Formats: sequence, structure tokens, C-alpha cells
Amino acid sequence: MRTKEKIIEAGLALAAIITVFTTIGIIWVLLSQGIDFFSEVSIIDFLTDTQWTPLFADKHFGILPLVAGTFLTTFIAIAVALPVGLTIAVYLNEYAPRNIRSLVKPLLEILAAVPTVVYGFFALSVITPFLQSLLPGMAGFNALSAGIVMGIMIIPLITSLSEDALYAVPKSLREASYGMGSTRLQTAFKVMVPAASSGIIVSVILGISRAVGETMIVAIAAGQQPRLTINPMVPIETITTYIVQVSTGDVAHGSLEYKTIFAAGLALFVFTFILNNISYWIKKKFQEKYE
Amino acid sequence: MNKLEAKNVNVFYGAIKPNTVTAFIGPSGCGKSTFLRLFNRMNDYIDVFRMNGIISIDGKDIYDKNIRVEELRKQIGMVFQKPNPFPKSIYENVVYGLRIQGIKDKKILDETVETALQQAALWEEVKDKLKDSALALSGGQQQRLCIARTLAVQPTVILMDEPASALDPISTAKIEDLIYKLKSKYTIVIVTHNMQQAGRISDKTAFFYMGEMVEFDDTKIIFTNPKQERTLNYVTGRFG
Repeated sequence: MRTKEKIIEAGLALAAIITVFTTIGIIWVLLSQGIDFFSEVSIIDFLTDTQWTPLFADKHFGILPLVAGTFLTTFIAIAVALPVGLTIAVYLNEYAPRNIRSLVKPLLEILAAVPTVVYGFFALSVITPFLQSLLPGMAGFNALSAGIVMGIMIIPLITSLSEDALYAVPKSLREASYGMGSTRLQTAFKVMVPAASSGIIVSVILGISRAVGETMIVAIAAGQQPRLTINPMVPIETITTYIVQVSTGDVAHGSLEYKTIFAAGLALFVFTFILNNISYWIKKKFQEKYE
Repeated sequence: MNKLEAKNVNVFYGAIKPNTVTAFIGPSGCGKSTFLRLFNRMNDYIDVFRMNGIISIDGKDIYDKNIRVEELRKQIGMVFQKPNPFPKSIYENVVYGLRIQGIKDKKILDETVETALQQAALWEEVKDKLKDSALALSGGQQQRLCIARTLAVQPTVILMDEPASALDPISTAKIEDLIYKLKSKYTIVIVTHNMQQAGRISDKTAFFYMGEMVEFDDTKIIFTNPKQERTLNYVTGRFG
């Protein structure tokens, strides 16, 4: 019996250790290859140059166009996902009868389960033609279409986390608000949403983190042209798309061009790492508040 | 719990006079809180809730289709068992009821804050920290803030659902003192677990048992010479 316990314990510990080592391994690969890259390209150029052309004869290694592309699509995605996601969360928590709630929640989970490649084609073959009919001059690949669809993809995340946050607000606050003669709408937006604001902010940050790291939708629908712009109508390239482009292309392994993807990956890792930490920090503060 | 007879409701409400304190006493789960919540329609949010009978304020049926429940609740304020200030500043808590009515005039808001906090005997303690979070106050202060928040809307009736049950004896004494003072301006209905409290502060007392109102009379009579045997057994501590 005791040996059996020991084996189980070792198995569980092994499972935990694997995730830790995977993380360490990823960081090590990114750092070692990244350091290699920065021994050939100055980090100042990397952060300040406004052109990203490592695959051309005239090479520039400025990450800014890729960062701009990433943030542009992310911004559009959040601009779509936050209002819609929060509205759904408020509706589910404050208005919806139990049967509607039990219908909508699984549907949202289906939305979360759609493969991102499907979203990518949805953007390219449905949203883009639709936007082109509204906005003449819109390119076939553009940040707007990819951003909107990415926003749709993030809606379940924002809804689910915001709803949890709203649900965690003590019921007594809602009663207090109703007791003073508030309508449901006033109660929802003047009491419940402010009281849940830290949880809602966490949902947005995790949404941003998801959008920054999203690959397939932008690779399919946003184009592959690194461009320092905030114009959502033209093709751009995100950090993730660039990594896909190089790692699936015919760039020789070990070359400087190849190493750029580790530098780009490192930049991406830093962004999501910071965002996740901010959300973790806010979540901790939030939990203290109601305990 | 949910079943309240039309007859009880009717007979009972006709008997609450303005500027009095009426206490509901009874063992846990006897329906006194549920009954209290009928008066400002807080039971409306319970899915299976239904009610027969008529409850009226100033002669108007509050469950009438034409009554706007929000208006009703401005007239009939409520203080809850646990202090439940909003996670906002003290000032914002007090003016919440005015803000939702769309009142923006800073002068009116400031005056209301001072008057309401003074009425709730909290002004001296918080006048220098109105911008601080209400959650930083002690439990007793929070409860007086909740009373001030209710008073700010200028109701005529205040329902109190065991307002002192979560507080220490000193804070409880302050709340009781406050209820006694508020009587001159408001009609107060209070649910309490604590029979001594009912005896100290109320003019009339209703005894509830098993979802039924057993007896309703002057507090003095309920505690010294009740007509029903069950009431006598309860107030003398033989059960409950």
C-alpha cells in the first residue's frame, strides 16, 4: 500500500515538474537564440528602427512595424470584445432568466471551441468582402477584418471572466441598490459593474494577452506586410504572423534571418508575460477586497 | 415561508400608524423577514414568488400594476441585516439615491450628505473623511452610513431587517438610540431576533411563528399580557 502511494506521488510530482521544465526550456531557447541574434544586430536598432525587412537585400531589423501591427489588431479586437462581452455578462448576471442563461452559456463555450483557422477563413471570406462593400478602398488583407473576428473569438473569454466577477459581487449590494429605488440598468452599471471592475479589467488584460498571441486569424486575414501604421484598411503583419512566415518558409536554419524569429518570439513573450502578471496582480488585490 | 395569507396582510397593515416603531419578532425562519420585504416589493426577484391580498401605503395598493416599484422604494426605504455600503466613498454612498434620480446640483448633494449623516448620528465621526472609502469604516459606522443613505432619499417609511444583529453591543445601542430619534419623522418597521430590543424600541409588536402572524398588539401587552398562549410561551423563553 505504501509503495503504491509513493508511486502515485512520484507520478504527480513528475507531471508538475514537466510543466516547469517546459517553461524553462522555452525561455532558454528564446534567450539563447535571442542573445545570438542580438550579438549581430544592435538592440537599439531592434527597438527603434521603423522598418522590418530581414528577408530582403536591404536588411532592417526594427520590431516596431510588427509591434504596431500586433497592437492595431489587438486594439480592434478589444474594441469589439469588451462592449459585447461585458453586455452579455451583465445580461446573464442581472437580467436573464435561468433557462436563457443555461442556453447562452454553452453556446458561448461553442464559440470558444471554434478552431482559430476557421475564424481566419471566416474573416477572409465573409467579413472582408462585407467590409469592402461598406468601405471602398479596403484591401483584401487588412487589420480591421482580422481584428473584428479576433474580437468575436475573445468575447467568450471576456464574458465568462466578467460574469464570474459580477457573480462574486455580494448580493447585498444589489439589494441595497434596488432598495434605494434603482432600476435594473442603474443597479447593473452604477453598482455591480464598478464593484466588479477589477475582475473585468483582468478579463480585458487576459483578452489582450490572447489577442497579442493569436496567430492563425491574423496570418490568414491581415496580410504579411510589416508596416508602421494605424490604418486598419491596409495589410499589416503581426509578430506572430512573421514567426509563421519564416518558420514555414525556406529560410536556412541557423542563419541571421532565421534567428529573427527568436528575437520576435522573445518580444512577444515579454508582452504576454507582463500582461499576465498585471492581471495576476490585479486579481490578487481583488480577492483581498471581498475577503 | 412564502405563503402569506391575504387576510393577515390586510388586517395587519391597516394597523401601522405613522411615526411609530413596529417590531416583528419570532424564531428564525418564521417568515418575518419575508413579510417585511413585501412592503417594498423586494420579494419580486424571487422566481416563484406570488402573493395574495393587498398591501397599501397611504391607501394605494403597492402591488397595483400602475405602481412603479422604483418610486415605491424611494418612499419606503430599507436597511439590511448586514451593513452593505457600496465600495465607493462615504460621500458617494450617501448621494447614490440622488444620483440615480439624476440630481447633479453640487449644493443639493452636499447639503443632503450633511443632513443625512447628522440624522444618522455619523456626521461628527466622518465629516473630515467624506472622500474615504466607506469600506474603511467600522461595522457599526457602516450600518449608520446605510441608514444615512436611506434617509437621503427622504422616505416616509423605513424598513429595517435586523439592523443590529451583526453589530457589537455599543454599536447596537447607538442604532437603537437612532431608531428612537428617527421615530418623530419616519414610520419604522423593524425585524429583530432580540426580544429585549423589541421591548426597548417599539410601540407595537407583531409575533410571527411558522409563517403566520400569531399576534399583533401594543409592545407592552405582547410582553406582559399576550392573548395567545404561543406568544406567551415565546416571550417568556419557553421555546424558540
